[in-house]
Amino acid sequence: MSSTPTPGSVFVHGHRRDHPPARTSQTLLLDSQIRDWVVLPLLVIMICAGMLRSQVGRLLRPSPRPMPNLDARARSALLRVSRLRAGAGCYLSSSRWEARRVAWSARAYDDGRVGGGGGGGGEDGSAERKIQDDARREGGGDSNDAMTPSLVPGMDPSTMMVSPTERGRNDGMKGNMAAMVQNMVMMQGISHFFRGFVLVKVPFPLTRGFKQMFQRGLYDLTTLDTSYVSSVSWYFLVMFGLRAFFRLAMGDPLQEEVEGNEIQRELGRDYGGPPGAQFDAAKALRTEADNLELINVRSRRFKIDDAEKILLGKRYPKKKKVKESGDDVLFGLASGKNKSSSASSSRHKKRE
Amino acid sequence: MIGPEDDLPTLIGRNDHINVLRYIRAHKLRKPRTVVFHGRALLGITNDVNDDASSSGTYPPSFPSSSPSSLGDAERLSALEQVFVSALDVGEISLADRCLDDIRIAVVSGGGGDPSSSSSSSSSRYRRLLGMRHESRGEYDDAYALYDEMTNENPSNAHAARRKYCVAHATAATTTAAAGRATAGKGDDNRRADVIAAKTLDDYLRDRPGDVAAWYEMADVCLSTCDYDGAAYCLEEVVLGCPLDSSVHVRLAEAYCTGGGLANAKLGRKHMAMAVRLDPDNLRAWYGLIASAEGYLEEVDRISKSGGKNVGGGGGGNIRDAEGEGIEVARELIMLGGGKLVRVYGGSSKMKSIVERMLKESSEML
Repeated sequence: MSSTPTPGSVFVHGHRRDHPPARTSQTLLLDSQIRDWVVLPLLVIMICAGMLRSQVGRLLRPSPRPMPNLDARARSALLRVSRLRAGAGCYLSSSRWEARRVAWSARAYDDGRVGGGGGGGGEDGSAERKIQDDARREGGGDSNDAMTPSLVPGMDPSTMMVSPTERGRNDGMKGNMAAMVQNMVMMQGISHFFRGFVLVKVPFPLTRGFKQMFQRGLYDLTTLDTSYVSSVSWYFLVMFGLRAFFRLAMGDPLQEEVEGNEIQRELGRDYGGPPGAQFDAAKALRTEADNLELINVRSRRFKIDDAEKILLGKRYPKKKKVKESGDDVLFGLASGKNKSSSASSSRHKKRE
Repeated sequence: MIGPEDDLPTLIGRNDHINVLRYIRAHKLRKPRTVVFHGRALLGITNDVNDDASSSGTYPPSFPSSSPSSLGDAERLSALEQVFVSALDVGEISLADRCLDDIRIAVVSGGGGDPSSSSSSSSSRYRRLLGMRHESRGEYDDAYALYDEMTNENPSNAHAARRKYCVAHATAATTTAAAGRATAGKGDDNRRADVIAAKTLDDYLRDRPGDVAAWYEMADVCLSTCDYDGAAYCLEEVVLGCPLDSSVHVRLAEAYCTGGGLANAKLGRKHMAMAVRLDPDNLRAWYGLIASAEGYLEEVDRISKSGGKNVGGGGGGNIRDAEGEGIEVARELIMLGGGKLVRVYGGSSKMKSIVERMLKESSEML
């Protein structure tokens, strides 16, 4: 067939050839009317819609509501445990660290009792507190029972199970709902009005893998070159591409607003995250306890344990020497006394 | 927004009031005088509306306010809040009261509350400021009641819970001082205040085990009741929170050493060594290092003597055997610490002689 198609002939299926197509990329001439009446208006509509959506989202944003106290407590406990797990743990002596690890990864309830608790305030754990305390005493001899946080990692799941995350879910949904509804409507509209339109061509060749992405809605044109973009795909590309533009156009939120959120959080009120990211205290604490259980004391180097060694450096007494001096400790100590005192006094003299 | 190239002197020089305030807030600086000065200029303390309009003419073009002719609500309230706190800080009570009134008019009067009451419907952010004013006037009872109400309303209000303890602590301190002045007749009273404060802190820590500052306070409470194990536990918590702070290590070591016992003495020595490593100029740590090593040697001595008496024969030898290395280390530490101290005080002969005499005593004790 003719290898030089006339520029005017816009055949979407004009390149159905004998030889393998799309290698010798045929240029399709896209009508300028498409540009004027479809591509640009679509862009404008989407920008307007994005602006509208952000405003609606702001209106629909829930007012901050009190954070459940258990959540707050669990977050705080997690913070505390994470310190132990992180590098700061090395600045505790190994025995104390291990005591904490054992105590905090201890399970307070066995699983059989989990269901029965039924959402008391979390203060019903006097027995549990005793267990925790005992574990702590055995482990490290910390007898600070007045302030042991009653519910450390194993924190009573009975109350956690009923954690009131349901309340927040609806509020968070609202904003998302608005965006979703808008997207669906626009997509339906575009695929209805501009079905089968090829709107633009990207100026570089693409592999066939991109066909799904670029030519959504053009089902029967299996041989069309991949760099042509269909209307629905154009919509998607613009939708994702505009995010950065919106960030630029609308600016960051005011510093005052951000700070306001921080203060509200400090005052125990929260907007609640997106619905997917609800904080599940029981699960988080259990995970943390599992992690703690898996850490081994021997796998860590405790800086406190070697602090003296590093401080003394070469002067640190050698093991061998200690054994030797171990034989004559009884009177060796007396001689050692003289030696060391004379040594130190001679040091002082030297300084003078 | 504040650009990355703007720093405080440029902003001040440009008389860019709102961004000065923002910069100070964002960096959490404590510059109350600057804040009060620029806050006055920004808010036009004599006449709100007019001065707002005139001062906002100097905003840099980057200022993204939608209505450049006046401050937005959020900006104005934030500035008022900031100026209020700073005014309390420098003791400009009338200015503080004025800011608080403005905030109340903007925030609370929407619900139609009367000035002094803190109805439960009013904003907790406003009541936080109200509590600050109560505290600044020394009206601890009012402040405590306010914070109590806030925590009852929303138990996860960390700020109110924390301030509640602070107020209780301050009350205890003032009653103690008063009792000290009016002879020791009121001993029960101030003890009760102490207990209330400790209880409040205890409650707070149960809910917020992650708060390092609260653990530090708790360590003080424990020390005041001679509970050295408890203090050590609290200070360990603090060490986990800020592991590179030399002074915390020193305090922890002191708690260990005072608690007594061989294991504690060893731990104390180690933490002192860590403190010295973290900050070689920390003289308290150097003295502490020597003292803790001495304490350890004494402890070994004591055990070996008592063990010798109780068990008879080899008991004393055993402990010395077991602690052979530790004894050596302790001696080395004393020598190292002594050398350092002599070097530090090398400049003044008087101090040097005192230190040397002290060291000689300790080396005789070896």
